[in-house]
Amino acid sequence: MMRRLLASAAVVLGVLALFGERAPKRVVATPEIAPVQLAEWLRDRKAGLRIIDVRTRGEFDDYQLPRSEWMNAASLAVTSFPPEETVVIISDHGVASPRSGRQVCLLRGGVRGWLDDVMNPTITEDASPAARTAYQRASVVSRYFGGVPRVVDTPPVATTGHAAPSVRRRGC
Amino acid sequence: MSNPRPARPYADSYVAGVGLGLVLLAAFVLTGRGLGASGAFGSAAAGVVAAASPVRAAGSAYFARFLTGQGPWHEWLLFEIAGVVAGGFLSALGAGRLRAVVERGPHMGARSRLVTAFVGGSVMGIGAVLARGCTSGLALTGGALLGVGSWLFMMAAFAGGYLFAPLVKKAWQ
Amino acid sequence: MIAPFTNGESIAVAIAVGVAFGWTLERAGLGSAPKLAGQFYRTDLTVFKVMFSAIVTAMLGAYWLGRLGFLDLSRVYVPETYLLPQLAGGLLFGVGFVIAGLCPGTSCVAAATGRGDGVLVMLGMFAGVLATGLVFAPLQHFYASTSRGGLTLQDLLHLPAGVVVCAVVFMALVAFQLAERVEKRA
Repeated sequence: MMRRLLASAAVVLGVLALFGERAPKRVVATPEIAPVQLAEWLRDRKAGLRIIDVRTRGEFDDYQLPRSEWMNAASLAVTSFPPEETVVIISDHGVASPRSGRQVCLLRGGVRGWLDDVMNPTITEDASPAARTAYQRASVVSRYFGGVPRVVDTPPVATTGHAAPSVRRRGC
Repeated sequence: MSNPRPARPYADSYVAGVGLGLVLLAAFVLTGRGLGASGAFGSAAAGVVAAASPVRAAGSAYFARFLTGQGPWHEWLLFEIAGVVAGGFLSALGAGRLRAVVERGPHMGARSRLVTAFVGGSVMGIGAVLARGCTSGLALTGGALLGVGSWLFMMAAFAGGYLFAPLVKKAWQ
Repeated sequence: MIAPFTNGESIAVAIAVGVAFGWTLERAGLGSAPKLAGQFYRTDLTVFKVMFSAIVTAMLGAYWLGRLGFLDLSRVYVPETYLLPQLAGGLLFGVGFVIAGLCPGTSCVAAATGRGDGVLVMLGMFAGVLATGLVFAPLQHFYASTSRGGLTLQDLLHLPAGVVVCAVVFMALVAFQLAERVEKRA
């Protein structure tokens, strides 16, 4: 009797599943992470941090973030990360989210953002207090990664979509 | 009465199976991961090796992944397995099934049964490392999520069992 | 809906899930090695029946909770596929299973209920994992080979998930009928 009941329930739910498909897939916006935050995580050796670079292999070989790993963008979409890992994706274009992973985010501004905010943070003499605090915070990690924080006369121009100047990877 | 506390019969397999499925579903909902067992052994082994020789532990790519985060003794699966031991004990206590025995086939001595238990366990350990899981973590969990590797593992495990069974038939029948 | 637990809470959840897991395994009779070994001599198909009804239940539950929006399935970790290691590992695991009469999870239940053979299976399992971990370097290449990520049957077959779910349900029901017949004949 109990068995019959369970089997019937399974049949009903199974057959309904045939018609249960939702047509369009929900697109979830991937949250972004600031380059300075990522730099602090790296410095603090945050547990379970994975940095996945999905640019072309050539771009990756030219310049890569410390501890980053290269992955094909297509295989990222079918990879599932263990829930304890925090995944930061580096991409110059949009990105298809991986299958699963508790915390997946995109590095804001990609490699360009890293270069501007971490490796070469700048500030003008007449900057606001908030900007000064942010600059202080950036300078600390910048020096850790061998960057050059400096004070400039004119505020930095918003970066265009141009490719980053050819930066060779430092030996490590 | 010769036997004051007769053991109660086991539950119907399908009812128990549905119960187990609901436990697995609860694990998906609450934790985003399923059940597991072999990972607890992996984590404990990593912890022991790391205590004896940190260099050795870090040098093994298998152990190294248990040594990140809060370390091998904080692994989720270890707490889960502690729960399994407690749950199994409580259930057997309630059903009058606690017995200090060595369970074995009718034609086998207790000592040789303990040896085969150890050997069988070791072989499973090797298999579970290679496959990245066991009946709980890979077959049950991934089976319910329709993972290809999990179904492959399940079929391979049943095939391995059926192919080898005639060779150890004497132990069980 | 997957709750962000604090450390202490997630330990409590782990233990609670484990207790329920151990309880159901024991109730099903899966803490007893001769009963499990019966699976491989076609005398007692409890292992198959419990496993597959659990898989069907959790599969239907996960599918429908996901479909109705109570569970974000993209946040549930699907065990990754590594074709050759899982094929070879599975075969070895099956061989070990029929020798031991218990699998890793059920050995813990057997040990907890006083079965000495359960304790030895646990020790053997620990030794096997320890030894493999210590000589891991030459295995590493094979271990990482034929990776397919979190590939699922619906991805592989290019079918909607609901169709695969429905097919698994019917396959299981047919298999249960066969299992009952096999047990009657034994």
